This record gives sequence, C-alpha cells and structure tokens, in this order.
Amino acid sequence: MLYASLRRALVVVLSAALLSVGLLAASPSAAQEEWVVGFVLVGPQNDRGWSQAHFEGSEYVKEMIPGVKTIVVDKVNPADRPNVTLEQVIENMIEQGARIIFTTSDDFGTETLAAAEKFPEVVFIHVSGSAVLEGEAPSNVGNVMGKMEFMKMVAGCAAALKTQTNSIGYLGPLINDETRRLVVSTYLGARYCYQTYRGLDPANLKFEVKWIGFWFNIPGVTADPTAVANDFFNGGVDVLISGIDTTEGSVVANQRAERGETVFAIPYDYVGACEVAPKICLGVPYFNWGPSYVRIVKAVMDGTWQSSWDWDGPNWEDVNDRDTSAVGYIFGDALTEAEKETLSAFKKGLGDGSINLFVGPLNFQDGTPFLAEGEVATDEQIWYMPQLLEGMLGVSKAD
Amino acid sequence: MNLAKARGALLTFSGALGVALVLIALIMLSLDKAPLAAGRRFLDGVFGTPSARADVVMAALPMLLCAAGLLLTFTAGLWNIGVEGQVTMGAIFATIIARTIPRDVSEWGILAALILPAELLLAMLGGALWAGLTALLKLRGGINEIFGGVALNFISVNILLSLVNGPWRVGTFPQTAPFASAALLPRHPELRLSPLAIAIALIAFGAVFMALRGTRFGLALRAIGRNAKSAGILGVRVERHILWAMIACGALAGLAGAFQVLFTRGRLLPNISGGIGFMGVLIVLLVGVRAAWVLPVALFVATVPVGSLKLATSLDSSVQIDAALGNVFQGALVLAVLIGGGIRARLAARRKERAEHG
Repeated sequence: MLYASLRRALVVVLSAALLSVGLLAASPSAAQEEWVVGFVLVGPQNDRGWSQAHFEGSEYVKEMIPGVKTIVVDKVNPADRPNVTLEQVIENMIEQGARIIFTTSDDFGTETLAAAEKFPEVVFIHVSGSAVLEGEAPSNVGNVMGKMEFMKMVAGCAAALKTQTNSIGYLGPLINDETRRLVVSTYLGARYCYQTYRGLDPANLKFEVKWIGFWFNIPGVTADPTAVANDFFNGGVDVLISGIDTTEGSVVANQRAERGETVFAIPYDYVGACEVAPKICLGVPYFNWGPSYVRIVKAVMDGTWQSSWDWDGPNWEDVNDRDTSAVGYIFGDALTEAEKETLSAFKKGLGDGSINLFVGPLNFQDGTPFLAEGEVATDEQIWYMPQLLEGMLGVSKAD
Repeated sequence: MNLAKARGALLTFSGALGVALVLIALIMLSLDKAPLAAGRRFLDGVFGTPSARADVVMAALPMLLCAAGLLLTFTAGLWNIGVEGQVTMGAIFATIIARTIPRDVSEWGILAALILPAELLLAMLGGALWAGLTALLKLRGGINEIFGGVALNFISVNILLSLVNGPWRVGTFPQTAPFASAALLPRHPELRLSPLAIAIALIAFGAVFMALRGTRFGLALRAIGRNAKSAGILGVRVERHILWAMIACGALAGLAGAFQVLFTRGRLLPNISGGIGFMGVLIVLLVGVRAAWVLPVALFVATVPVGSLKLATSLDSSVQIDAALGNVFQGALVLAVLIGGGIRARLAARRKERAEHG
C-alpha cells in the first residue's frame, strides 16, 4: 500500500523531471552547439603529478576547441569521497550534458565499462587501460596512453649519469603491467648510460624498486612514501626516481639536500613537478595529455571517432612541444651542461632508432628469457610486462 | 513541557545550521565562489532528480542503522565509539559469503534465496561480535568502552587491510573482485535504489524506536543511563543490559557494513565504512538522543555528499567546491549544535538559579 503510493509518487516525479530535462535540453542545443566534456580525476587536480597533468589536458581542450565546456571532478577515490562512486560522478556529468567522459585512472577500468554499457550514446575514454586492445570494451569506449617508456629511459639515464654511490632508488606505486614496464624502461635507460657514457660496469649499478601499494599515499593503506624515500637515502641511494602520482620523493630529497647531503630526485607525471624542489631536480618525465585529448574530442565532434587503443608517442623533433608531443622530459636545474648534452644525444638516439633498449638478450628477474639475442620487443610485449628484469632489485609480483 | 523542549531543540538546531551555513559561505567567499548560487544548485541537485533523491535515501540508510543502534547505547550512557569497527566487521563478514557466490546461480534453486539472508545475518553477527567484545572488555576488564572501541576500530581496519591486500585481493588493487549480482541487494532497474534495503533499515529503526518507548528493555536502558548504580539497586540487571545494548548496536552497525559492500560498493575495499559509524554518532549527538529526530537528520546529513558532488560536477565554476568542504560543513554543524546545547543548558541553569533565589 505504502509502496504502491510511493511508486505512484515516484512515477509522477520521474515524468515531471524527464519533461523538465527535455525542455531544458531542447532550448540551448538549438541555439548553439555546445559540447560538454567530463574529466574524472583520481587525485587532487593540483597534485603536481598525475592528476594535475590531466587537469592541464582538460584546460588545453577548452583553450583549443571553441564551444567546449569541461567538468572536472577530482579526488574520486574512497578515501577522499567515501560516499561517492564513479557511477554517480559519471551520471552527474551526463546530467550536465557531458557527451565525452575521460576517466583518468587505471582504477576506473571496470566501472567505466559498466557505465559505457549503460550510456551507449556517450563516449568514454579510459586512460591507461587496454580493454579495447583486449576486445572487452563496448564500441563507445576508447583507451589512450602516452609512450612514457621513452621518457622513463631518459630519467634512468639522468640518474645513471649523476649517481656517485652507484645506487638508484625507484619509488613504485602498485604492481601491474604498466608500472612494471615503466620501471623496466627506467632501468634499461640507466644501465645503458652507466655503461655507454660513464664507461662503468652495469653489474656494479644497484637499481632497486620499492612499491608503496597504490598510486598515492593513503594513510593506513599504503606504505608511507615519505618513509620509503628516507629508507632509500638511508640505504645509500643518491638518486630517487618517483613512479607515484605525487611528489614525496622530491620533497624528501630536498630536505636531505638542505641538511648537506648530495642527493637528487626525478619526479614524474606533471610538467611543472621540478618546481617542488628545483635545486635537486634532474628533470621530469611527464605526460602532455592535451594533444591526444584534443584529437579525440574533435573526432567525436566530427562524428569520425571510432573505438581504438591509442599509445601516443613523443614528437622526436621536440619532445617538449606542447601541441604535438604526448610525453616529454624537462631538464632539471641540477643537471650540468655536459650532462644535458649527453642526455640530448641519448634522446636523439632513441628518436632516430639508433638506440633501442628493448632488444635481446634480456632476461626476466627469475632468469627466464624475455628477448632472445637480437630480438626486438613488440609493443604488446612491452605493454604487458610480466616481470622485472634480471639485474633489478625489488618485487615483481603483487602476491 | 515536551513541546517546549522540542521547540528549544528545534531552535538550537536551526541556529546551529545557520552558523554552519554562514561559516561555509564565508569560506566560499574567501575562495571567490558564489555561496548563494551554490546553495541553489545544492538544493536543485539534491531534490531535483529522482536519481539524486535515491542517492540521498541510500546514503542515509547505513547512517540510519548506525544511529538507531547508537540510540540504544547512548540511552544506557554508553559511548560506543567502536561502532566504526562494528561497521567494518559487518562488511568483512558479509564478504565471507558474497565473494564465493558465482555469477550463475540458476541451478541453486531455493538455496539462491538464502544467499542474502545469510550474508546479512553473518554481517550482523560480525558487528555484534565486535560490540560484544567491547562490552566484555568493559564489564570484565574494566576498560572504558571508548578506549576499547577505539582499539577494536584500529584492529578491524587492519584485519580489513590484510584481507584485501592478501587472500581476498583480486587484481592489482587492494580490493576483492566485484560481487556477483546474486550476492547483492536487489537494485531498482533504473535508480540506484534498493527497496529491500530501505525496508530493512526502516524496520530496524522502528524496532529500536518501539523498544525505547514501550518495553522494559528500553526502560531499563534509560534507568542505567540516568544512574547505573541506583538502577542496579532497584533490581535492573545492569551488566546484562549493557551487554545486550552493545550487541544490538553492533548487529545494526554490521548490517550497515553489509549495505556498504552489498549495495554501495558491490565489493570489499579499504575504508569500506567511509566514516558512516562516526556519522551515526554525529547524528545521535545532533538530535540529543531523541529517537524521532534521527530519521530526518540522517536524511539531511546524507544530502551533503550527494549535493557536494552536484556542486563539483556543475558547469559553473563559481559553485565548484572542494570535496573537503562538505566534511567541514558537517563538522561545523555538529560543533555548533553542541555549543548551542551547552549555551542552552547554561541559560536554563541560570534561570533556575534566579527563580530559586528571587
């Protein structure tokens, strides 16, 4: 009885709401074609890391395509918004007229696919995922990622040029294909430069990764990245490379440098990340999402967009070109001119193909072969990196 | 008398609401945001669409359950701060069954109908166990329920983390796989709404309400809350009542935890409670242990996350606020109510004094 009347009331309200939404939606779209694009961020939009890079990408879209409005919701994670789910965020964005939604965390994968099934007329771009590649995604889902591997190689190279203790630390987030391939790329860059430019035996280079358990610090859930960073330095590391979304590595290195230690850091993700601690910064490998986002949004607006898995590379002419390069590397203040020149030469080699680090012989950490002598890794072999490599210290698998 | 009391409470509450709103408005102005427009958008957002109203109702349910349980313990003068851990244990216990349910249960027949009751009962058991432990620590170990509760909260969080990081982890994130739909509370086809969950929560709340109003149990709890010693002298079995009040509260909190995993999240993950136990404490403090007010206040508190999200997803940047501001509002509200209550009590005492002397 109560339920029946409730349901009746609900039906009335529902139809009234639908009607008003219909009326509201009809008028502006007739007057002017307005595109609303939603961006869901996992961390704070000013984290000077992963999330801020996406925020900058959304600003770039607004700047480059007239008539586009953006909705950015940051901190979508159970710690910051305990009573909010991704589904609610997406629904709210669609209510506001969003027709394209970028979900910018690996974490959002399954829920993005579920939302895409529910809203087939909206295009969803799941950043860093590969459901499209695996054939598991509905046709209104796309994936995009930057070829950060190259810039991580540059980062590894910078660390190898600088280290005096022959010990490099890597502050890892959680363990998956993506984080493994990035730390592997860093290691390959470090090993190559240690041997080639410094003429030292790579067997003497200690390269260790410690995983905190998530993309950023969640007190009580992850290992504390500040403590992990201090552990590294206490253990003799003098260059700390960050693979997490936030900047604790640089902050700790800077504190120790101010106490007179000779230590350096390489942050990650965001073009301005060196500003946290410029003096000890060897540069930052960063994502420049703007060009990829503009390409996707324009394609959807034109009606030419089709579901695809995009792994966008750098513009080798100038990896720091804001309008064309998906990934880049900004030199830090702590590099000497000579080091910068070496790094530029290394980068040039990567760009023209004269240096390819994913070439055999390479073994996995457990000694099983990854690439035979002379074998070049395919994109997919790199994308689905199943283990760390022989010579690296740290855990390969989550279990 | 009762009417005057209710009016006083209403006055305190609206006064506190006003203070909290002014505070938020000032913060927003200092950030160059438009508080009035934000207020309008908040109200539109929360009440404007069926899906938003459904979200408010569903967000209120776990808090309502916790608050209902806490009405029992607060009435008996117990500060069951451990409610948060009881929620967590409920979520964990519900997961014990939920994670084993396969996608396809078409061949289970009658057994399939038992999945949900079993999950919910186990969740209540988990919460009750944790609350009972707090009560035993108090009654046998002489450890105040606040300290026992805080300790058990901490332990429950660590049990949760070790499970989702260890044996229950699926994939790279510290969480279980999404549960099969047969394991979840049935969901309305369009809205994020579970009529069954609403019914369960309302029945539970009604039962607590009736127990406090018209049963010997409720009377005994009230007597214990006023003065445990005299209640004992007058023949109330104090220890037994304390134990049962705690266990009942724990069972309700466990149910709230089950709602979190079987509806809101659909899986077990860290921070599964998201502070709903503490929100329950805040609600009971807000209403001053007056049971009738719990329902509307729980709904009111539940508008905050939903409305904050509406502001965050607004196209108008002048009303976009940080996720933290909603929490600031809730905290400011409780503080203002408590301060208001304190002022009222002091005024009343002074009036009484004047009447006696004059």
